[in-house]
Amino acid sequence: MEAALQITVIGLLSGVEYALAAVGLTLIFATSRVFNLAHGAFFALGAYAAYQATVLGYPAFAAAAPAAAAAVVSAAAVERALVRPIRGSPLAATIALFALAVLAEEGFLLAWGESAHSVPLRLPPLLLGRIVVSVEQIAAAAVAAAVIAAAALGLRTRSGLALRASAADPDIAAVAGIDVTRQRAAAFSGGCAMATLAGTLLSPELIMTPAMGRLPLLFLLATVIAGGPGRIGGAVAASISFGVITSAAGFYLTPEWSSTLVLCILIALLVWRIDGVVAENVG
Amino acid sequence: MILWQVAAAFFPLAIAMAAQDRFTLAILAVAGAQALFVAGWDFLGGVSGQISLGHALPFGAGAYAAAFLSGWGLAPPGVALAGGALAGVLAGALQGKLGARLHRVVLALLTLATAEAGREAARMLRVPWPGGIIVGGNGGLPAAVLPLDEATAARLTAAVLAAALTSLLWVSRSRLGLAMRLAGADARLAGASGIDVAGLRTAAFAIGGGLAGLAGCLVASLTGRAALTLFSLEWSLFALAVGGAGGLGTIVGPALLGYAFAVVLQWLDVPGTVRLSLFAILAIIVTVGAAAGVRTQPSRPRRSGILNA
Repeated sequence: MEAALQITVIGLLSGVEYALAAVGLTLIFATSRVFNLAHGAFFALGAYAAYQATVLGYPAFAAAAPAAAAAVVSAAAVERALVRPIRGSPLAATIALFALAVLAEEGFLLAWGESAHSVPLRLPPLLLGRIVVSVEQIAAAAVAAAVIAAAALGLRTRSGLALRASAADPDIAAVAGIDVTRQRAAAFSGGCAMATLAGTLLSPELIMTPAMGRLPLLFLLATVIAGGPGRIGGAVAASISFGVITSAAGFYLTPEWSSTLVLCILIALLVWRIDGVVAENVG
Repeated sequence: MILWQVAAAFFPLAIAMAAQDRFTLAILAVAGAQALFVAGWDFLGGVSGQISLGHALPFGAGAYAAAFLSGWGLAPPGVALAGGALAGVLAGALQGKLGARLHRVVLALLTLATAEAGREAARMLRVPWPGGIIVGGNGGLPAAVLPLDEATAARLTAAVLAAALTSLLWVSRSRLGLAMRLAGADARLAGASGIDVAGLRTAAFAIGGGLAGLAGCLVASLTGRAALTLFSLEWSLFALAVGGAGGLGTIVGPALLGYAFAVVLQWLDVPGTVRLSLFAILAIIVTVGAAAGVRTQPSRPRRSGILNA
């Protein structure tokens, strides 16, 4: 019973942190109609930024804001150079972003080497009854939840309404005077920044390697598809659910099985759930 | 046109026959296998219009199957190669069956996911091996090395490549190939014409997977190991970059370009990081250029319209 509770709490917390990246991915799909296969690379960028901060003697989370800012700038460049010119070809954009992700991995390899790195926990763990949780994880989940809430609230503002209109019907939004291109660019940059922030927040729980972004990318794809592309609430719920499921799989089976489980779920979702939604949105 | 293409398909064999240096021949042998891998991808992506980001799945499956068959003495090396090719066919057919009715973007994601699943499965694999050892995991499986000298190995892979390219050229121009092209270009029209689009897509995956499986066997047999890295996404990126740059759907172009890249990069001993970066940049240029070109010339439908999913 205690083990189950421990697993649930840990899974819940990591699920909330991953939900931040999932919300970013779903926003990108909703506005640009593209699955951002470079999302894992931005996630890894955040994790490596946290590692670099610890190397320089700062707390890992101190890298959150600078990493997110760097992600905004680089994502804007990516959107301008890769996504916008080929907006009429979602498959081409997906492939280009996949290639960019591989290029980014090589960049991480050059910058930080192929050795695995980790971020040390600075604070002692907290004992809540019989449940052990790290203070960093609670703080990270709280920050992630706050950012997701801010994003959800932001979508109810005037700017958010313009973004939602651009996502729902770009043609009508353009006729109404909304700069759809700018909205898409903003969503892309914001979404990638969310992924980077999530990577920074999750860094104490991760082992950093150049290809570390691949499995989180597949996890996030599964989350977005399960929750419904373009649905923030769905992405959050699916992320939390998957967080608990994979935490349980990692405990009762082996950590390797949690990755395999996510992949099997993703394959099932791609085969049986997503096609109609994509055909409707992508054309 | 086709005669020139058939003649070009034998170009690697001519090079392998002419080369004398053992180092060069060793490089040519592996390059022939890699070109075979690319040819399978191009048949899938260029002829049948199904862009796969997971062509590494049948590649690795073929290598592992051949290693297992030869390592346990279940088959002589030659038969093990056939077994590996069959494993590639099955792996490709599985991808095709799962993705036969899917939108192209979803299909690309599905192939990516299945390749990663294959990689994870191979990473978890622990196999008892003759001698009382346990192999598998990150180390892969030991593969029986083909008892051939470098010259024979290079000429064998080049001959296999030439035969495969000639066969693919014939298939792509047969009724089956034309039906595949139509299904790739316009699935609705093909379906309305009575073509079994899902069946053709699965068949294309099986054919492409078989070639990838055979390539995987050859690489494993030449290097002595079915490595976990054969399941890596980087192989799919290599095929994608070279396939697009060499002329999507022409089969011989991408294969020869892949052959040339493999030879030059191995000859110059280019580090893996540089190679991957090169392929990634090439893939981006080819993809963006092709898709942007289709947008600027809407009145001239081109082969690269396949990317217009």
